Amino acid sequence: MRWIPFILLTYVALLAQTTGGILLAVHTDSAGAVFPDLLAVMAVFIALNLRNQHEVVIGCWLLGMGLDLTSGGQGWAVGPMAIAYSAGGFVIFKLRETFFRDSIISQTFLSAIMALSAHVLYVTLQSILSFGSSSLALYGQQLLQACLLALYTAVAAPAVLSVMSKIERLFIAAASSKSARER
Amino acid sequence: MRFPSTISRQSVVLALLVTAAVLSFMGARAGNYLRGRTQGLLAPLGDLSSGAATTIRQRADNLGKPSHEQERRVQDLDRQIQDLRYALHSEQARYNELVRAAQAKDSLYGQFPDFPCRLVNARVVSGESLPYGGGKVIRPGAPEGANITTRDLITDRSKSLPENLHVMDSKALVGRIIRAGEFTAQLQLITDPAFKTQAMIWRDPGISRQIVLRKGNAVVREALSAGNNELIDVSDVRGNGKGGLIVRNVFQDRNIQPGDWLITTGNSRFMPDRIRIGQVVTVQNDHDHVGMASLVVKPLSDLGSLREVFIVLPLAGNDGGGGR
Repeated sequence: MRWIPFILLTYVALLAQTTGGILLAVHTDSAGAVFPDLLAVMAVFIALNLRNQHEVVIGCWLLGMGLDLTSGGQGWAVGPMAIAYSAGGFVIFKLRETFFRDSIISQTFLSAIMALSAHVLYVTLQSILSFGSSSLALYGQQLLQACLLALYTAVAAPAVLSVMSKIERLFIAAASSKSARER
Repeated sequence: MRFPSTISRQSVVLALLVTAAVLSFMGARAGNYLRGRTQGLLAPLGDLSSGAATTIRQRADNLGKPSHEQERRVQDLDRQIQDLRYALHSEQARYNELVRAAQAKDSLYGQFPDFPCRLVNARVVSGESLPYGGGKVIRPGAPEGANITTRDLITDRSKSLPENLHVMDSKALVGRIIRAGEFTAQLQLITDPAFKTQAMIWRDPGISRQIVLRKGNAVVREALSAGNNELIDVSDVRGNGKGGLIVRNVFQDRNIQPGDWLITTGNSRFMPDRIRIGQVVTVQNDHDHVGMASLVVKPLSDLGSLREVFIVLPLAGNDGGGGR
């Protein structure tokens, strides 16, 4: 993994999500605003294309920490999304052998799984860490929001993945012989 | 970039996960500190992309709608009708004059004798990366139902603004400052579940209804008119996290109807005048408390397209030490 280009790409993706997210947001009465999590799709991409599981986890950690630092408003801790993304990326890496990695359907499905698992875990951790200041109704609303967000992410995944595949060489180095031996 | 041979990837993963866990347990204070430090990184590019996104959204919203000229004429007529209604109420006449004067001004840095605050220009440059937030960066200078409920702002203040300052756009209250740094601030929208305030309800006399009045020992029912239309204090106003506000503990006999207005109290240090917040859309009886009702209020401003806002800076005693 080329870390500096990856960090720059993460920055651009966060920018797109924080500003373009308003453009893409769908407002629902029951769950509030929902927009796709572009970084979840990025996490799936690196989980499917990197050879080293530790690099996958580190990359997902960076993506999750970026989301933590650019969200939360008042009363939300930094760190849960980094943990959630790391766990999600690890699971996707382990599951990837059971899917056709180049299949759009597989990639879309895995993006939905990644977004759903990461966001459900994130919302649950934040609710626990808020030490009772969050209500059950709000938690339920946020769970519903997470589910809808995962669906929306799946819809947006093919477009994001096609962009990622075109710029893959910028941040994923070709496997060296040493890297191949480490696997 | 290669990892030094003395530090394994496994160690890095472990260190990162432990760091994330520690930060999580340190809670919101540490999180807010870290977010404040990183806010400025997104601001410069966020301003450009936020402007583009807002412009695209506004143009998309305007497709198929009446022309701008027609819309403006309709809005002018609506505004005139509203102005007439306000003028009928003795307590609203002064507020109406202040609103008209403020909206007629090109620059809002002026000082109004009856409005002891300075309006600091600010601009929304980015929102939140996740939709769960319960608060954009404003460059100096310089929709409906945004459930992404905070915004990062850039201000023209080199020193931090105090927290809890109210923020408004050209029409209504939109939120308050929850975090501020050098040239940056975070705006918590009125629809954020953590946003709480006291306010007042102004019942629109144009909506016919009967209200209960107490005259001495007697209780009488009368038709609502400009003469008996007193403002109703409401103390439990908070964002519902879904693009609106919810007002609880309102007496049913006040007979509040959809179309009535939620306005600020005008006696707060942070907002020393009455400005609009939003309009009542639904009135629901509270089954847990007999005789009480809950209101759902839709913000007057389009929070999804928020771009140029004004931070209300009290002049007397505390202007936040904000130099330019």
